[in-house]
Amino acid sequence: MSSVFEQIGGAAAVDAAVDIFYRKVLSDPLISHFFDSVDMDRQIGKQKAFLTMGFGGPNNYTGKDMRNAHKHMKLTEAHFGAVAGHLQSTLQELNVPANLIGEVMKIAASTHDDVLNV
Amino acid sequence: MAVLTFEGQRFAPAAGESVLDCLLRNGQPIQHSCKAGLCQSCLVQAVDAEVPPKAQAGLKGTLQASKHAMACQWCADADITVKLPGAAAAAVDSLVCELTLLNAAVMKLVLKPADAASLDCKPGQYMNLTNPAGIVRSYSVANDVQRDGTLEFHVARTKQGMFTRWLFESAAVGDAIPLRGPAGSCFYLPDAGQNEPLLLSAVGTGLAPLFGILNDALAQGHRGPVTLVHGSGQPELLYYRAELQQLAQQHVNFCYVPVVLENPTSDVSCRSGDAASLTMAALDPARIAETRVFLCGNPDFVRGLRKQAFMKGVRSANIFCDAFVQRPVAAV
Repeated sequence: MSSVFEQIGGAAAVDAAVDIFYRKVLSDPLISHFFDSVDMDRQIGKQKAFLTMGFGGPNNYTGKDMRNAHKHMKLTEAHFGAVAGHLQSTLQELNVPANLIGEVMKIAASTHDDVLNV
Repeated sequence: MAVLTFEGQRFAPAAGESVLDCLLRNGQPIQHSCKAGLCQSCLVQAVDAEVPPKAQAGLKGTLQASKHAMACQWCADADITVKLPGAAAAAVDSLVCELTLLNAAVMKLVLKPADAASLDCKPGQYMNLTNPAGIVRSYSVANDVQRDGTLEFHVARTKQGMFTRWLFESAAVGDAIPLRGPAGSCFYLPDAGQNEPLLLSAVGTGLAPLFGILNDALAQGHRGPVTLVHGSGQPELLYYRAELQQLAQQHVNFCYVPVVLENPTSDVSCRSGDAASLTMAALDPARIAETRVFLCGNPDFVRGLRKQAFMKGVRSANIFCDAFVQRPVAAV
């Protein structure tokens, strides 16, 4: 059985998803300010790393990294839900099969406590 | 035994170790994040090394062509010399060979480098210039050094600029100007496709790199539609209008759009309004996903327009920017 990352299309899927996903978060007034940095190329890189992790691909993030990266941002359930929602609708837009979207959303949900520092 | 050379220091990589891990193990301050070849935080630039394709996978074509690589994906199993992107290499000697005012506030500075043939500088990249007082500034290259044997820069007079005061008040033909560079990933790459639309937009001396990129694209036979929007406060601060109008007459696929904020002379040959809006209006919605956008000028203009273009549907990998910052660029 190949990994979720492979089934979803690997790095090519990340490339296809990143612009769509990033446009969605930048359009969302609840969370856009977290993502609207002056260096867009760097932000795109970060989003690719996030999507790769979400797709179950190779990454070196630990729960501690996640916690440290987010702990000063005063994030709430609403912020977490907004990002998860944009991830889900990005995958729907790309016609990813529902069972794979479910797998990705499970991985995203697993970061909940670290991201919200609870 | 392979040697990894970085910023003048030599390190011995362990078997199978990446360039990034070797540098980190030796206490070198390299930014990094995912270590999986995705976030592109750990970019380095090859000085004397063949970059393996894996270390460039997913990088913009212009970054690949200028030998950028992700240190985390580069196995240090051969002799490799790398530097931080944009970090100064050895200086090249050059002499001032022309100083011409392009308008009341912009000087055209032409330098003749000692060994132009060996200077691998693409029109649109930038170089660091050191004036006789030791002041270093970076300016974008407006021409093809391989074709002309010289480097052309456009320098705007600034009120308190030490470099510009020297340039406008006491620089002379024959002055020696050491050069370092090039750097920057804002240039034309024919391999990225020659049939797609190119949209170039600049304010002020942001025209310099775009004038270089425009001529490069046309000289290399770009076939897709090319639009250049050049914005300025007043008509008399636009420059190279005759040259650009002539290019538009010579190339049916090139459209020149001069724009001014205020147009008291009712000069009918240029549009009134703000350059950003007219740039967005020039994007062809039917071909937006394949359009390459080049933006140069002050940071607010570049960042604002970059976001607008992206949100409208231009791919992030197809936006090339050069924001002018008033500082010595050595410390990026």
